[in-house]
Amino acid sequence: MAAQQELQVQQKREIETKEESTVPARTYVPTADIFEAQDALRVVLEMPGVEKTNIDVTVQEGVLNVRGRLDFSKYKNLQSTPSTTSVIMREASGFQARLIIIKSEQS
Amino acid sequence: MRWLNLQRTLEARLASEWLQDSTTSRGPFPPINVFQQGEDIVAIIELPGIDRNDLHVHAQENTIRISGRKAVDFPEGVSVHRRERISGEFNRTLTLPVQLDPDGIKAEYRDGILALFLPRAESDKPRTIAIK
Repeated sequence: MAAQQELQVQQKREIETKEESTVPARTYVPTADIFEAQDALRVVLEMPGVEKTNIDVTVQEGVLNVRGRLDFSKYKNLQSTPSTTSVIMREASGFQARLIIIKSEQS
Repeated sequence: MRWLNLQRTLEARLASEWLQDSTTSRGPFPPINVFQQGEDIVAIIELPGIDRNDLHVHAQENTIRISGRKAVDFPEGVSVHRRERISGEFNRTLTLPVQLDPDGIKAEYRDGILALFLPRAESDKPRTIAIK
């Protein structure tokens, strides 16, 4: 009988963006489930903190590109707690982005 | 000093790691950021993909408990190419080093983020003493 495993936080992965950015921002890689149903390929991405209106989805030459913008402006007025090592969102924005390569049936 | 205990709780890893796979685990689920807003405390918790019925927040004295279930369901008859999302039950308790005002606690769950507003009890706020 398998014991119930406790849920663990997955380490947040950051990627180095090669393009030039005018705003200091971190890009995180969201976790993804990819499965194939009869009718379509389904991709589910977990992008907490991204509002629906801030999501950009493009498909180009067999590559699915999903980019969501995190808005930290609501955290502007928050200070860190007295034990100074807690995470502070200094940047005005961040991204959750992922590139998925889709192999198409057609050549 | 009490804040240091909170910080340790936030960063805690499970005591014995030998049963877990060492690849991706990094602390208890869900991840929490704790901030201060004036005298009050704000906790930001990352909880994507939770059904509201499966999410519970309990407050008792100066302890907050976040529990629930994260479900990842696949439709029937699909072939899975990649599976990264984790699922299961979670239960995390946070003891804060300040007294809270339980009636003023507000919780908001939006876009995969659970935001808790935890006001400090009036009796716990520092008072300036007038010097005669």
